[in-house]
Amino acid sequence: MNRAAAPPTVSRRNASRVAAPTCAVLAGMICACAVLGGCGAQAGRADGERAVIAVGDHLDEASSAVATAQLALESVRDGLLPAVTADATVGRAVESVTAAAHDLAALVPPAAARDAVQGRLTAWDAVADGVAAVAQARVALGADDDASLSDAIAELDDAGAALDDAASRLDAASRLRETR
Amino acid sequence: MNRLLGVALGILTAIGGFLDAGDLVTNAVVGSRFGLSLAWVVGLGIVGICVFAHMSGKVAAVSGRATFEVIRERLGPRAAGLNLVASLAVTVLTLIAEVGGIALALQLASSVDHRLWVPVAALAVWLVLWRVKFKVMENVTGLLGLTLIGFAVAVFLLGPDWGELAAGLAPSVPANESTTTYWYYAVALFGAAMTPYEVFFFSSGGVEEKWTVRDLATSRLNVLIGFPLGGFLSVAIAACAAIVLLPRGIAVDSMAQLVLPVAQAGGMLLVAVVIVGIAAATFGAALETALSTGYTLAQYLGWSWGKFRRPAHAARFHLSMIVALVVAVAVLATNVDPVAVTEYSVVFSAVALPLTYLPILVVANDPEYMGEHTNGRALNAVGSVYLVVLTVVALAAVPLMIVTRAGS
Repeated sequence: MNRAAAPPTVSRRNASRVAAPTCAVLAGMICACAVLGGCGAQAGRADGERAVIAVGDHLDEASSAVATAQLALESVRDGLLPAVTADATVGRAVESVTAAAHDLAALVPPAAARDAVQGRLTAWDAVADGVAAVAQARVALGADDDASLSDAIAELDDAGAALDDAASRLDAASRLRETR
Repeated sequence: MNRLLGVALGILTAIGGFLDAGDLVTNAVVGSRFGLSLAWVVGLGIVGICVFAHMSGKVAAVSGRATFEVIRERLGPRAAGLNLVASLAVTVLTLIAEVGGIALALQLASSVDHRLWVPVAALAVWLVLWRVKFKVMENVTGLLGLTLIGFAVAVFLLGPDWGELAAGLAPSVPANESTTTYWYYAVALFGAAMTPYEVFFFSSGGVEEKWTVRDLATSRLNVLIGFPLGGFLSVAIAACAAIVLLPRGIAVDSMAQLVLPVAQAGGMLLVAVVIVGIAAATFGAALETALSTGYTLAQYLGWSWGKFRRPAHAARFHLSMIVALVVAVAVLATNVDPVAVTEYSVVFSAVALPLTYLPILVVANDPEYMGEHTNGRALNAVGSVYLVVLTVVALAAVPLMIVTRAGS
């Protein structure tokens, strides 16, 4: 039997009926991937102004994580929040603050933009302290004694103040750039 | 008396069943960043979902058929196919978010990583879909979801300055946020309030419960009282975040942060109540979204469907739900953040809104299906205004997402 001569089982019209929606779905998926990719965290090389904005954003993320951990620990100390729930909350704060540290490390401000380079260095120190404080908070939750909790809260308080300070300095440097 | 109890139960279930992972997360994020300045969007979304859920329920009660079945017949396979692709994609994305939401709620109660809870949550959802009767399933999750009223209790216990809180309701962009970010979250909140699966579930549920024209009044009460009260709980979540988290500079990026204001207000007991509510709300929404995937596919393709049938008599309907759950587990197993999935799902819901709601308006005006119960002028006017709003929101959603880098 000559297979090559056999009539096609799917007509061109039917094929286009099947192909059109398939192409539409594929196009939609590619667009969705492009959109999601475009919405990813801004990292890598950036001009001076963008780098300063990105450093500020990462400082905000780290501050939010530190404040979350502090509120969770204070709630546990005051008997308002179960330790297991606080552990889940602080666990997530660890992820957020380390993500901020990672993004900050991945950021490459241009060498000529001194305020961005200096701001990133100051921010890095503050965020690194924040990572250590939030990680220690989980240890304190596991220790389950008031002294450890109080120490961890004090450490988080210091880390929060350092992050605020770094944000203020960045803000001042950025204002100076605008006046120039 | 029995009828009155039935109506009350329906309303309570509608309140408890209104909130899902998208509402929980989006309202908390918005409250922690914008205070109550976006509460007007929740109001706008509630009116919209009431209008279209009412139409959808009416189609089911009058024609005895689910909305999607009628759309397929009335608009033909191509137009209905477009509707199917859009709503199914968003519904599956929402299902992923809900299964992740259950896992996160269980993590809050156990401290065991949510990734370990994902298969357990999906299995529990499937077991309920397979074994439990529709009415029992809907009532239990809806009533347990009512415990989310703990957020409203927390607002009162926190004792805020009510004048200041009320002043915060005025639409305004906070100094540290951009206008585009404000509108991005407005779109997200609107998408969360008007998620497409809600209307398909509502109408198919009407068929499951064998609604007739005599049930129209009950359906109307469920929608017009239950949904707005559910919306009130949404605003309460945003208010909790605005009172406790916003002043401390905490921007919500996890479900765990939702319970911190509740702990400040009511301590461990209220936290426990709210965690039950979060688990019930996300579990109920996971059931609804899984069912909605089965409903839409089966109704479009003409398969036998419904929980009132034995699984063996609606095999493809049940199989499609199982496949959707497997997809949800597979996606969550990639270590994707369930909260990020939730945030994307509400924005893509906004994109799909016109494709979902236009056909409902068309069918609700067709005398061939609706007889004397076609929409009145007022309902059509409101529906048409909403279609314009939905189109603007759908067109703006993706550009806003790109410009604001998903609100970051």
